Amino acid sequence: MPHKHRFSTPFLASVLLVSIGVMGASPAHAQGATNQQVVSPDPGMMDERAALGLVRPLVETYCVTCHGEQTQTAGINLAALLDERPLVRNREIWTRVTDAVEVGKMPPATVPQPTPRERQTFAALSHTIENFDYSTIDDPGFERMRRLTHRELDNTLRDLVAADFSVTDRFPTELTGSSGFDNSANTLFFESTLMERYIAAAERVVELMLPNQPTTEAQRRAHAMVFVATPGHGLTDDQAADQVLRRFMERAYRRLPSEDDVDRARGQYRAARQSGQPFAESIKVVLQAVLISPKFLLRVEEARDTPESYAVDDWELASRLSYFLWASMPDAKLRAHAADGTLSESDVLAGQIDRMLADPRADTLGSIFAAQWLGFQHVGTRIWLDPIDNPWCTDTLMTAMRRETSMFFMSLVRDNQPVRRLLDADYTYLNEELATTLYGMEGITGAQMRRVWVTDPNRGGILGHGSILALTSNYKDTSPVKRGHYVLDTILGTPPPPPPPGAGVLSEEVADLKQLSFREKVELHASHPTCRACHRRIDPIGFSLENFDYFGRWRDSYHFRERVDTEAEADEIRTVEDTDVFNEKRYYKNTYTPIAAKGTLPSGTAFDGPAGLKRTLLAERHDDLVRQTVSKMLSYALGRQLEYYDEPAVQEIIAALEADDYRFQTLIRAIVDSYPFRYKKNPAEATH
Amino acid sequence: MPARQVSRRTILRGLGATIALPLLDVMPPAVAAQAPAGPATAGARRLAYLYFPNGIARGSWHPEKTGPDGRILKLNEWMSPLEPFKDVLVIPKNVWTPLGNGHVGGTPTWLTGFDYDRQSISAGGRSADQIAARHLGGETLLPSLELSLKGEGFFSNSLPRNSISWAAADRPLPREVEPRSVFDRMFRPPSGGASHRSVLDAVLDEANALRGVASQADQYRLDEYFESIRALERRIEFSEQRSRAMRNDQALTDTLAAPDPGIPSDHEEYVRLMMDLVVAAFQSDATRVVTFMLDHGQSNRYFNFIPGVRGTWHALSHYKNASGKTEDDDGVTSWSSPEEKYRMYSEVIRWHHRQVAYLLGRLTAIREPDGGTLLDNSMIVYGATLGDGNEHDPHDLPTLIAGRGGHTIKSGRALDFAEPTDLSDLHLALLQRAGVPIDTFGHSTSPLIL
Repeated sequence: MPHKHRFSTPFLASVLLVSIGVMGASPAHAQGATNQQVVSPDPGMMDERAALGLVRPLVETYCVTCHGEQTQTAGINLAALLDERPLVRNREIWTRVTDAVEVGKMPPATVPQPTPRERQTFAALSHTIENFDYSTIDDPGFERMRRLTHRELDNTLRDLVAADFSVTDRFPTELTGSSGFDNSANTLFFESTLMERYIAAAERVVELMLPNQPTTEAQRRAHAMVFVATPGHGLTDDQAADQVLRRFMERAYRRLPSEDDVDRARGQYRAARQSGQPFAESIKVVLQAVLISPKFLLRVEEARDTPESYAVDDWELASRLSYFLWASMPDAKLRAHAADGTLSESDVLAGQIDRMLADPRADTLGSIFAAQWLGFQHVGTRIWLDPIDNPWCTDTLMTAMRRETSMFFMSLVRDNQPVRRLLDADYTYLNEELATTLYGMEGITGAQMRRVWVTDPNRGGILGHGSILALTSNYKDTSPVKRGHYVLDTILGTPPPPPPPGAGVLSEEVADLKQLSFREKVELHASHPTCRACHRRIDPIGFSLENFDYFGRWRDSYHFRERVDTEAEADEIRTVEDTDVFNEKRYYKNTYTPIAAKGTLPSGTAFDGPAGLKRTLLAERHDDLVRQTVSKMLSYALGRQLEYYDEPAVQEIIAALEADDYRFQTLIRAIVDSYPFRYKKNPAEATH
Repeated sequence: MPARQVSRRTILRGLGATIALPLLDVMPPAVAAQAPAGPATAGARRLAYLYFPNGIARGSWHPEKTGPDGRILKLNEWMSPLEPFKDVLVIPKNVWTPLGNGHVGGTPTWLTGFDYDRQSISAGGRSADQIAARHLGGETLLPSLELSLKGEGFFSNSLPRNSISWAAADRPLPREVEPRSVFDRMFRPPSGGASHRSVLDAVLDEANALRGVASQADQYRLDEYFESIRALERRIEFSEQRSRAMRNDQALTDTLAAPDPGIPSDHEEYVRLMMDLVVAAFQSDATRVVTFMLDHGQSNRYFNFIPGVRGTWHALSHYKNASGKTEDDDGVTSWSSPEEKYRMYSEVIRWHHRQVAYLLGRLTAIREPDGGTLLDNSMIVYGATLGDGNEHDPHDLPTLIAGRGGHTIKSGRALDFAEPTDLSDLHLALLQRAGVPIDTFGHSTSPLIL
């Protein structure tokens, strides 16, 4: 099934009708759209060359003056892109181009304009891109060697030496690029500033977790994990050291150490011994070196010298699995299956996935994957209210907000629920503070988060979660535009194009019309021709969620409190005690405006409120929701952003999901079975 | 200062404070006795790039009065903190970055001269500071320093908004935000078991063996690993040599103190501490190349500590809309008029000029072995990637050069270009003065005449 992007029909004539509708052109033009002079009568047959033949002269006439070799406005050089084939390689840019031309945003009004018919011709481009035959591609991509993320390093040290603290809290902040996940190989650089932190961390971990006399429970566990043999009982010092170091390296390197590795470690151990250090101390010297080794800090996969694609080996598969499902190193069972080469057998693999998902370590799918996809990791840090003015907004509340969505997501995985449950569920996870502060629910007591049935059809699913509603709001004010954009972009994977320069804000004149409601103001601005095309997609979604305030509390009306001059006008009087103005009386007038949460999608479907929105999205946009969920999770599993050659894998995963009611465990299995997860192909050229 | 083992430390009386210098503590006496007298830094040129986000309000940058030849007679009121330094400034008018500008496109390419590709995370090429670091870095402890103030608010983890230094087109460098970490990298030798030579040799050995099994496409990552270990080794070697030279440098030790760990809560104290470290880096010749981001590329920091200023920086930058309802407003701050907002926006920028003036003042006070001041031997580029914050205008980017580049720059002038001029011309001119043998940078082949 080809990727249905913006245009939901494979027939070009309809595509053009849609674009005309958006452009607001007269029906007469729509007639012209089917004219044979413009496009081939059978667009299904139109290949890339034919489409380029039509579009190239237009690009050269109208675009390259600003977006060409000489001047690359906004960094876009369309002249060069025309020659990069297949066109799907630059799908995103071409989509932006066809969108911008379609809505009349480009070319800018100051330069010669294409005729309406010429504008329509651009649709041939999006049509070709949409109908590209992905079966012609055979490329699993290449997972580049990357360092562990800070979170992965902490988790790995937890599983390796029972470290019960974070070593990365003073590391330079990890930055995220366009994949949105911090495990993306192209943002995980290795620099000297980090190396010094790694050295200090190695020292700290070994010193704190392996003192000569363990006193804490964690230290005792660390000792048991590391010192698997001790001299005596028929073992010489060297023999014991050998066993300890081999085992430690196998765990730390996530594969069997080479004999060179063992020799090197043995050499370090002996040097330490000869300098007079006792057995345990000498071992610890080697452990520190192992913890700064490239095989520990980097995710190393062995390469094969072949132009063909090849399967990753079982050790590498074990690491891919464990960093995907646990954000940590493989455990003993995975390593055992890797060692005897059985991990890639499908029944073994299926059993391991089941076991891993049941393990608490899989919670990282909620706390890292879902948190970074949906953005709620920022609740409590970037999403935050001043606690002096808002004493109800505590750290514990914001932790509970994050946990609600994270635990909810994990329940979908562990209970093998369908993907649509993300938006529409009849339960959530709450504790007393969250239930009473945000949701007005009684009868839930204590700080413990637990599953709670939700009878209100507006509340179930992530669009009713405080975390999501807060992160899509401004400080103490909802933003229907942000919420609409979030649904289109983050949840459905169909972001509207960015606003033209200078159009990012409500204009001052509009905002000054105080008698209008906020909705009326936004509607006014969305009536502007350059804004309308996108905002009629964005705004109705956001407005249907207006009953949720900026932290997700339910409200039936907007409340405005305005200060007035006289008691006669006021419906509220406050006495202010102040050192300068003693007992000053202040007058306020309160207004309550009912919230109108009705909306219509560009498709024409009308809906009302959050429950209506969810129903409509699941009825009309379910395919987009599924595709986005698949794309995001595959990208996280691979540790890279998806490329055009991943499309066949995405389509296969979607097909597998379709056959099993779109269930989350099927999704995870299909990802683990997918071509890019199990195979790799050396890049055509090293680009560095 | 906490009372701890003071007797073991060398106590120096600095500017009104008693200071312990930790580096002397760990210096082996035998090494100190043999160390050379001091680094040969006479006339060495220093480069610094100071970036600030969110642009300026059109009209608040260029001098109020200029004389013949563009001589700067008086700066405008918003630039007034820099008035005492007007004779060491060059203020060009009409420079821009034709391939990318603004918060996302402009920040990562400010120092590369190319365009930013979000998809592949590429700034098009190596940044000017890193080109300089490759050529000059061999003579100093650290090839370069990358400093930032710790971000606040939205976008504080955004890669393009936090990256101006690129070791390669697709390798943004991490930035130090904690004053103590910067100090430690310059003045504390690496310590601990894992930094022992034999350990480093062993891991290098291992990385070498990995080259054999890793894919061709992954060799660069192993290169990064190698480089990071080598940088560490070099730091160990240098720190042994430098200890004595530094102890003998009264001017340096008098002003040097190890900052406390963590981020100072007072923003001005934080900025000045980082500025002090820039001075210390140049003075001690720990490095000759520094970049310092005064905030990430779309800072939403509050500057309410400046009298009369309300709201976040980026919200203020859209000064023509005073509704308090723009997308980046916090929803609690409101303004009475665009004029009021303009004033607050410009106050925030003027506050930053004051911090830069502090840096210039300190660099002026330090004498170099060649008799001039440290500022005479420095070239400091200070600027932003938006010509007008409200309009997101890419033209006439606020830019100035402070320092005389070893008396190679005719300072005290405003340059007025009739045509939009590529900022790369400026980068090329300064790199050449720093001793980098290149004749092109970005798309530029014609260095700015300074």
